Order: sequence, then structure tokens, then C-alpha cells
Amino acid sequence: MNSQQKSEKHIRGGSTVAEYLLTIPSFVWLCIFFLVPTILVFAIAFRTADPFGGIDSGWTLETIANVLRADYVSVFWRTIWVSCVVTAICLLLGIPVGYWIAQQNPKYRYWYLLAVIIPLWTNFLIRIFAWRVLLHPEGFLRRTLLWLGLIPEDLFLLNNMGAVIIVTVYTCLPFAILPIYAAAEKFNFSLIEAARDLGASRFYAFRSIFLPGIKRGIITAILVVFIPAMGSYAIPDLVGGADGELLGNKIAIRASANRNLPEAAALAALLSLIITVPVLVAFLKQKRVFRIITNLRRSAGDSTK
Amino acid sequence: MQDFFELKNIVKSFGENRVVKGANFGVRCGEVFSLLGPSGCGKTTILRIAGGFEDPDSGSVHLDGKDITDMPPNKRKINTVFQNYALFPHMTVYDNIAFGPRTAGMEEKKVAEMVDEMLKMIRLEAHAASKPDTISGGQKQRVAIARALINQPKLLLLDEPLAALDLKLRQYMLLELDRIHDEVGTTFIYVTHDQSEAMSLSDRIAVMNNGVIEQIGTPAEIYENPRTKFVASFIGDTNFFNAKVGELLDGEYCKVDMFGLGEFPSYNEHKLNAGAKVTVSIRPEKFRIFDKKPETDLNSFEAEVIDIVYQGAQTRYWVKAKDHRINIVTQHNRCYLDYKQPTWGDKVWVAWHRDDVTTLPEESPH
Repeated sequence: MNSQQKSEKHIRGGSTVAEYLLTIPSFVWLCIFFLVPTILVFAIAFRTADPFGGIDSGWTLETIANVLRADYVSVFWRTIWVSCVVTAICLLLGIPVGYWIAQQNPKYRYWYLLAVIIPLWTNFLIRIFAWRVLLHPEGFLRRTLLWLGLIPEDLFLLNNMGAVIIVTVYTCLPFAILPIYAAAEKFNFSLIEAARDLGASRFYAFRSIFLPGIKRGIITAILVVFIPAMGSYAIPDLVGGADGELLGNKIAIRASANRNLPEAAALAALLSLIITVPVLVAFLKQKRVFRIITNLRRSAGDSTK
Repeated sequence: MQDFFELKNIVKSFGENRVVKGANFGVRCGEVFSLLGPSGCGKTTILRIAGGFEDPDSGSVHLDGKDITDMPPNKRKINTVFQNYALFPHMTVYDNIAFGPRTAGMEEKKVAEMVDEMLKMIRLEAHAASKPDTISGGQKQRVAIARALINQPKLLLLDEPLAALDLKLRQYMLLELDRIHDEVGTTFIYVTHDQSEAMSLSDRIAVMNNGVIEQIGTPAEIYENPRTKFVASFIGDTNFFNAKVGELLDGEYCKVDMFGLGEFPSYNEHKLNAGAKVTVSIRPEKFRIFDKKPETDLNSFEAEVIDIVYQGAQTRYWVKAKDHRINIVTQHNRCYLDYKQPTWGDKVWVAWHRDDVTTLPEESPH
């Protein structure tokens, strides 16, 4: 429906008014619990701190200038980098799993899905502590790998960036699998047969037909993995080392240990901007981006497989 | 003529269910060969085996003299038009048709030439940039055919290609398919459950039932000379009579006792012996209706008209004789209103020629 038709419908029918009325509860809910707190966080970033951990009455730009300092920049980059790696690994694992489950007999599919979801029934912190036990220098995993000679003596699995990535992937993976599975389940697998029929190898059919076919699922998976990963703080706190500190930890330290709310708010605001702006741009330009990519590929004479 | 594509002793089961029970047939180069049968008869499975999407449990597949049983689908010089077209929804009509040549690594200039030629053949030049979900069913069908034919396959498989179209479009697409076949000359294997499609398009038809090919022949052979009761009933309408072979007559004829109606001389194609139990099949249009016993060598019996359905080009009568209800069709080759027509309750004589009878042995030969 184009905008002209939409506005015509708006003029003619009372139905759209009713539609708007129905959205009011969720709109109010979003305003109170989402929009207002976000605005508060952005506002507090410009206030001065009082010596007792509260907010003073003055306004300042100093906090903002402060969080753009070099050592914060490196934390920002590390957070983005770790989130990207986690998202990539989740996709690499989630896409084949989603593809596989969608091709199973519908009778058993729900059991496999249940297996994906069951870990979520256990408390998040307990699962992270379980990973601490697993990854512990004297723990089962490292002992076994050492015994098999797969890792050198001086490699530790806990309290470093590797541990943060492994455990974040572990917690995010179900959220990546579910939207990918939902898209794969609706995918028409005879399209893959059609591609094979037309000469495509298994991998080429998967890449050129299946992946574009579940594009929406993949985009959702990226969003639901990348955004929480950017804000994660319990995982780096519990399994990360000194070099595994992420933005979430900085915010937590500023807010609780240092009692410097404006600085915590400034960091949080920056984090929201980093996440929101690219996502918004992607949403608005999604169609255009894809068209540009297609045109580029065509003009480059993309005859490669 | 040399068989160009051959299936030998193909057997295929899914779990306990044996869907193809030893299929054997050869397709000649350039012909349209139909696999015709009710749904679940195994025809689609045979097509999928030909395309390489299913492996037969036993038996072999040969194309142009080579055994291709173990060849994956992307290596076979065979392309398929899938039942629901299976057009790639994220690609334009142009990109769909170009998929095969691009996958083969052909340079874009050559691809463009070939796609343009295909678009011209299917008369969809104006829709090259459309996405599949914005074009009609008939257009999708033509894109699917072009996408398969652009690879210049040795064999084109069509899986119920017209099933999703409405009647008018189906008739139009049948003519289109015929035209395209004439233009490209590719060998077609056409799977359908619609006998009229198969009859109008095919050079030869294989009629399948329950995983078995019951008869292979030209449309006329299959219609006029069905070899089994199933073939006689599946292709067109017919009347069955339980009967017994009586005295053998000169030439290829015998007397057949059609219980209750009398004993009539009939063509004895299967050279059945006297006393054999048979089913006699007589097509509705082979009967003629007279108001008195015809004074010719036609077979005839007396009957009562119980129902009449006027259908414009023809009229369908149901007549009753003893325990039999017989279906008769008469063509109106002359003006219908100029003639006195039988009406409900009339006593009439139903007649047929001895050559228009098919006597089928009770145990159908496989």
C-alpha cells in the first residue's frame, strides 16, 4: 500500500482510529519503561556529580569529554570487536543448526527445539558459574584437552577474552538459532532442489538460495545477539580477566563502586548510540543497501559462483 | 528407434511402502513421453529418480547410452520444471533464467544473449525485471520452463506443470508447451494425473497404477486398445460387463456371453480360450441408439432410457438393460432439433460393432 492509499483509508474509515487506540497501551508502556529512562540516562550524562554518589544541580560537558578519552576508546573497540566475533560464531553455528532442524521430521522437530531452549530454564548466573567450573585450570575441560595434547601447558581457559567469547556465544546461541529456525522452517526446500537441478553444487545452492531465503531470520539473529553482547557485563565480570573488561563492566564500576552516576550515564548513552544509530540506518536503508549491492555485483559482471 | 533415455527395473520403497515396483521404459529422442496415473501411483517418484533427487533401491538409469544412476542432479544433463515452479523468490525473472548459465561459469555477455532469447521464446520480455511473486501463474510456469531449457538439457522433466493453473490457462499452456517443444525439440517426460493433458501433448503415454506401469503406447493405442481394466477405466469413460468367452469364431473373433444380455461376436485381441472369464469394455461413444432392432451385422440388445444429459456438442444417455446401467454418448453432427430424439422411458435398441469391443482377461496381465 502506498502512502496515498494509506491516507485515503485514514480519511474514509474509522478503523484506523481504532487501530491507533489499540496501540495506546503498548505505546504508554514503551514510553514509561523505555523512552523516559533512556532520556533520563542521556540527561544525567550532562549533570555534575556530587561527592556522595548522587547528582548535583549543575550542567557540564566535562563528563562527555572525559568518556571520549583514549582508555575508554580501547574499551569501546574491544566491546565492538568481541560482540562482532560472538555474533559471527553464533551465525556460523546457528545457521547449520536451524537448517538441520527445519529439515527434520516435524514429529521430532519440537524435541530438538526444546533441547535448544531447555538451558534457558536454568538461572543465567548459575550457568555461568557452571562454565567457571568447566573452564577452571584444574577443571574437566582443560585436563582432558591437556591429556589429549591438544593445548599447550601454558594455555588457560578461564579469566581471559577467550572465556568471555565462549560463554557469551553459549548464552546467545539459542537466541540466534530460534529466528533462523523460524525462517528456515518457512523456507521452501524444493528451491534447493531446483538450484541443484540447474547445476549448483550443494554448497552453492545453500549459499545462493538458502541464505538469501532466510535473510530476515539472519538479520533478527544478528540483532538479538549483537545488542545483548554489546551490553553484557556479568559474563566478562565472572569469566573474563583483566584484559576482558567490556563497556558493561566500566558502566557497572562507575555506577556502583565509584558512585559516579554521570560518567556511568555518559558511557551508557554512548553505548545506546553506538547500537541504535547503525541499526536504525540499516532498517531505513535496508532496501537501498541491498539494491546497491546487487547493482555493484551486476556491474562487476558477477559470473563467479 | 533407439531409446534415448531408459529406466531399467527401477524399484523404490519409502519405509514399508513400495512405491515403484520394477519400472522399465525407454524414451525416444525428441518425443513427449507422459507418465500418467492417479496420485500416489509412483509417477513423481520415477521423475525424481530420473532427475537424481532420489536413489532407486535397485535398477539403473541410462541417458544417451551412459549409466547415470549414481550421478548427482547438478551433473546430469537433465532439467526439471517443478510442480510449484520453485522460482527463486529473491531473484528477478531475468536472474532466475540466468541461474543455470551463471552457475556454469558462463560470461555475462553470453548469458544476456541466451536469457534474451529465452524471454523472447516465452514472450515475457517485458517482465525481465519482475520478481516471481508479481507475475501470474501462467507466466511463472513459462519462466520455470525457460529456466530449465536455457541449459539445453538432453531431457526435460515436467512434474504436473499445469496442475496449479485454472482450466482456460491450462488449455492455453498446453498449446504453449506444444509450441515450445516444436521449437526446441528437446525430449520431454511429462508427469500428470490428467488424462486429457497427456492425450493432447504426448507422443506416447505410460499409464501407471500402484507402482506398476500397466501399459505404454500412443494415446490412440491406449484409448482404443487398453490392455488392463485399470487403463480402460482411467483413460476416458467406459462400460464394463462381466462376461465369458464362448465359441471361437473365424479370424480373430469369438462369441462373448455378456450375462443377461446375450451372446455377441466380439474381437478377441488377447486370443482367449473358450470358457475364459473376461471383462468386456465398450466406450460410451461406440454405442449407437436405434428405435428398432438394426437390420445389420451390428450387435444389439433392447434397453430403456433412464436418464438424458444434453451437453451441447453431445448428449449422454443412461440406459437400463437387465441389471446393467449403460452410459452412451452421441455426437450431434447434424442439427439436434431436426431429429426425433429418444426420451425418458423409451424402449430403444443399443447397438455396437464387434470391432469396438475390448475383451480383457479377468486377471490383468502385468
